[in-house]
Amino acid sequence: MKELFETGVLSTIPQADAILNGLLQMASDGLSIGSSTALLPEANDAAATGATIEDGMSGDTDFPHGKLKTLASAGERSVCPESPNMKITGTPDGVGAYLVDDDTVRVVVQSEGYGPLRIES
Amino acid sequence: MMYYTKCFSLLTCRPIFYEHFYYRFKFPVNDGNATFGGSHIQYVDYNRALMSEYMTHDEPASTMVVGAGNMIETIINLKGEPVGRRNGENATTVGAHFSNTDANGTYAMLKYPAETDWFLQSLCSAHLEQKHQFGDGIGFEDDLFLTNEEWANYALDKEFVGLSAHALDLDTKTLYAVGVFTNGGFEKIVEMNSGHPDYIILGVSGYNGNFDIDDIIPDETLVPQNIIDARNAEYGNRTDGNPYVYPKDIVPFRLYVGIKGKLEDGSDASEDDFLARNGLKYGQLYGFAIDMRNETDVVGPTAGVWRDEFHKSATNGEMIPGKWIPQEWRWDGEGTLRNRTLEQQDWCDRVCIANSNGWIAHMYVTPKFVSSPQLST
Repeated sequence: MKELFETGVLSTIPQADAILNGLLQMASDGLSIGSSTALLPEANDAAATGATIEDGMSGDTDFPHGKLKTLASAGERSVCPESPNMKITGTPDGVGAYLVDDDTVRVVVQSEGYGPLRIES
Repeated sequence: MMYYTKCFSLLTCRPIFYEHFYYRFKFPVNDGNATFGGSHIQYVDYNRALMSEYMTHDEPASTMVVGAGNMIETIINLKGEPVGRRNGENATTVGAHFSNTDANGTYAMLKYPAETDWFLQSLCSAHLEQKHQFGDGIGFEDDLFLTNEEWANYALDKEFVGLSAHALDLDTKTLYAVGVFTNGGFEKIVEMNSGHPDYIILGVSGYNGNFDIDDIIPDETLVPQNIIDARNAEYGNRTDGNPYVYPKDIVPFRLYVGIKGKLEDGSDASEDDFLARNGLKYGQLYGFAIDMRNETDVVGPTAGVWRDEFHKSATNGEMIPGKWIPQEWRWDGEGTLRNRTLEQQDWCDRVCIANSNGWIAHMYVTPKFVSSPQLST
């Protein structure tokens, strides 16, 4: 895997080493669903403000309408017995929630994937 | 409050986000008789008591996860058949996933999937609808997750059915293809309050016929002219005498009114027919129309200015008088698999419809929207 990415497109991306280390971590033990705490959304766009960004960390979290916490992230894997190692796929575009029973909240999320038309997933 | 991020950027995403793009991930349906790739619908179950306290501490969500899995176990196509294995490059006469094929079941996408029979193309902006969410007997008869395919690239030498909406029965994990909204592809479809137990109303927004290809030849966009030519050859010109043109997003905001318990022909359906009992087999599409005239003696409310241009200078909350006009096209099941997503143009020509940029040119899609049960009376 390391050679593949060092000679491939990843080598052209800033912070490629950090991304590679993340991939190696995924290959070894993965991240279970809900274990990521860093947020994808930003309160302000670092590309526009010039804020320093750090891989694996949240950006600007000063959201105008309150605090956000992560429920699940694309790429995390299931450690649940009914779906061992199933990955949460991205990109999320559509979410809903309902009670399965009195003790369980089920969050349904769909991914916007493109099959073979673009990067197949 | 639930929130999701549609993020394509690598800059602020964890490395795992990058990684997920590059493995192929198929899921079996219909007892393993077919495999799908592309878009997925998944679930994560959380302990309710722990979730109620989740925003009061800094622990990760993994501490309250109690289950996860795929939400799609069964897929039913536009003909009401369980989707089956694709018959290679030949027609799949029974059980085709029609979003990927022509009306005969022959695969029609620009590229073949590497490991699956079919794929769900760009599921976009779904909405979870709860049974009778607007009052006693008012609204859908089941809890369902309403989603839609969005855009596609088809082989330029093939005809195709187009992209439908899909309704996921949350109890049975069955995904039903829904044809009543046309097969033009969509941004978002959301239930509204009909105020009557026999009817459902849905707002239909977004794309129509977004099927061009712009990544084969640099700086050139290829349109599926063969299917437009086929439409003109089989049905003739539009009622204004002009031929049909590439239909990308030439469509107004739409409303769908469905009658519960009816089959495509208006006859009574059995109670175990999921789509019929939810009003998704028999109904009528309407488009918002305004008077677009700008003549010496007659001036419409926008003085002939189309929607996108009008909104550049409109004030917040501005009202435009208009009417909801029915579309002549209506889903009849198998017969309308061959409508080729172009019917809206005839609808648009018969009335002055509130399109984004006219009758033959596209601009922006109608936006996403939400419907608030609390505010709908």
